[in-house]
Amino acid sequence: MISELSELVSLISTWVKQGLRTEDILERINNPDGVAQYLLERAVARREAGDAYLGLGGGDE
Amino acid sequence: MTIAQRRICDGTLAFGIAMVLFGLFSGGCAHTQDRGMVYTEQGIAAAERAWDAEYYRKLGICQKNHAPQTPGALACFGAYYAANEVVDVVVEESVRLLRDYWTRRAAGHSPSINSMFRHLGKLVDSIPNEARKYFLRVKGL
Repeated sequence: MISELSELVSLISTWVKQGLRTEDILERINNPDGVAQYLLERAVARREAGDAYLGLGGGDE
Repeated sequence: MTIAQRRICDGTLAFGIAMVLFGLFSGGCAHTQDRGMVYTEQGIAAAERAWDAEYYRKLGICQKNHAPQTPGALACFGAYYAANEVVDVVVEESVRLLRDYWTRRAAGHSPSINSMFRHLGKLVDSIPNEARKYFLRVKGL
């Protein structure tokens, strides 16, 4: 019986983990245009920092 | 309970567990690609974070030693700036690929991710040496 119980515990833990992943997936399906927006924002910040230092690209400075 | 009855009970329980596990795993297979795409996004984000930290580290060093908008600044930071231009293109293209995948999934399609991974691999190959090492593991996802 102990092995069955341990299988059940493993089953429940897998279920919980899959539930979290499902939320990640649903979030992306519900808003595909917002996926990885943070990557684009950081790319802009990097470019602007480099532009400002080197005086390239018509930066703010 | 006799030994035979106990075996029947154990067998029934094991069968039940096996059926639940089968359902769980077969249900999970339908989302394998989706999970793969989430992992890919996380891999790209991790690589980008590492490059981001290196970029600003180098920028800080150059700012300490060379005034802005001088030949010294360009000599110190120019290669990183140029590398970052390519990284930005790769990041933007990766985000476009990710969004294209999720848009198709939202429309109820099951797009193939193999061609996307091949394209991603070519993009990573185009990254200059200063930044490529951070993105190499994305190719292996």
